[in-house]
Amino acid sequence: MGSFDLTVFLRAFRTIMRGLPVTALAAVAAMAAALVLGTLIALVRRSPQAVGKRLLTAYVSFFRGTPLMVQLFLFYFGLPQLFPALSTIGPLGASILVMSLNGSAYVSEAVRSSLASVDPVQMEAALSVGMGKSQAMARIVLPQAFRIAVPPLGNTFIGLIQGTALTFMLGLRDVMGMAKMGAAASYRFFEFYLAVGLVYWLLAAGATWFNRRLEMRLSLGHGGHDGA
Amino acid sequence: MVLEMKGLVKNFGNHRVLDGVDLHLKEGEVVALIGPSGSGKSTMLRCLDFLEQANQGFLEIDDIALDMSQATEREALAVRRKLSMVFQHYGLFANRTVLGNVTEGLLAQKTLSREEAEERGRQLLARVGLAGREESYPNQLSGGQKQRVGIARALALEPKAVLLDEPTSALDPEWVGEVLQVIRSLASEKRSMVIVTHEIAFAREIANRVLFLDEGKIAAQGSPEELLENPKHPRLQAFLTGMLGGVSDRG
Ligand SMILES: Nc1ncnc2c1ncn2[C@@H]1O[C@H](COP(=O)(O)OP(=O)(O)OP(=O)(O)O)[C@@H](O)[C@H]1O
Ligand SMILES: [Mg+2]
Repeated sequence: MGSFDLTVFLRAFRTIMRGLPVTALAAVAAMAAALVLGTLIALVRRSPQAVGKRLLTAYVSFFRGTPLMVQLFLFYFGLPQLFPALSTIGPLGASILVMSLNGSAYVSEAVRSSLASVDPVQMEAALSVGMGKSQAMARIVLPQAFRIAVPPLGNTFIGLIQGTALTFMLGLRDVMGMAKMGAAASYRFFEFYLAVGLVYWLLAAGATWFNRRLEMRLSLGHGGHDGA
Repeated sequence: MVLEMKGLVKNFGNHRVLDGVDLHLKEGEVVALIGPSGSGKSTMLRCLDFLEQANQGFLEIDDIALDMSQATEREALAVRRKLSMVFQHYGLFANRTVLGNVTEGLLAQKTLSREEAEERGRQLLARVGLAGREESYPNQLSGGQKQRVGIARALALEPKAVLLDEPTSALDPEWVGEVLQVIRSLASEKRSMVIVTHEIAFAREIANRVLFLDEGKIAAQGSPEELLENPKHPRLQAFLTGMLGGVSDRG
């Protein structure tokens, strides 16, 4: 029976932190892409004459209905067998790509339901003061929808941060990858995995804090907490 | 003539809500539109502002003439830019300040620079008695204040005509007077307006002409005196008796 060793723990912590840039890059890049892509998906799924609507419904359903790990493996190991050109994309690129697609499915659902909860009169009033439809969407409806969507989008972001933990399986030296290597080399599993758990927890807490602040700022922009 | 609409037909599914309605509005004229609940008053204004697409109808406004059922998004936009709507439930932009609500259309259309738009916005807000509330948000206002912002917003665009859909019927009684006062001042400066209202006394006071909409058709029209003091039309008589009998429009 070994015992908990604080110096090993602190060393583990330092080792793991070297993976932080990769984790942060993957999570932030994926979230940014997911926001753009997910919003576009929500807008297209809402418009009455969209052709690709069914396809998008299937897309969203697939990415929400299958494990991120399966998606990563499918894209990184599976697809290049069919399309060899895809094998040039490295593990970091593949991770970010897959997590962007995965995140966009969740973002599109959050944006879709928050769009539906914006009073339709907001759109009509915007049209009536002479805006075109996309202008009305961009200036009036979407900002209100995003305000409503901030809490679920925060959850999506935390989900993506934790999702990055899977990317070590593609050989990425993210915090999880560093923890795994450090633990295997030293046999100090407890210290390394505790430290990496703590790192993820801190990241999630940071994201939650940021999310709360954003939520507060946006609701202040409406002059309080109740609607208009 | 500011506006001339002919033969407006609007169906919802197989329910014909408007069945050949004509409307014309002269420069500086105030037309009051009255009629029972569900007779299609709101639908008529909404078709005029292309918030609903008409099934039939022909519209001339300023230099535009078009078939309302065939209008493209572009044409609808062009018509909307000549009209302004005041909504029953205000429809103020929740993500804009009071001043932002008034300037939003001007800024979106880039008709004026921000400074000029804000200058005009402040003047209009002062006109409706809201100087000092520029930086408030809509949810910090009373119903009467919200509707006065709604009116200032409609005026900012210098429309050919203002369409008002029961501007006071969502208000608590204490706020009705101040909003009517603002509308009265618009009428006295000869703004062309179409106002849907259940305030019969107010219609009599400010309207040059009253239209009675019933079962999708204009059943009677004339000067306020003819129509409201000496109604000949039996359904109009019944409608007015019902109103005077205290049936409130605050549903
Ligand atoms: N979007 C819609 N879909 C289906 N039916 C509608 C729609 N909008 C209005 N209607 C119907 O059209 C008819 C006319 O409605 P409208 O709102 O124009 O009446 P109104 O004269 O404004 O009534 P009120 O005095 O109650 O405001 C009603 O029977 C209403 O149920
Ligand atoms: Mg109505």
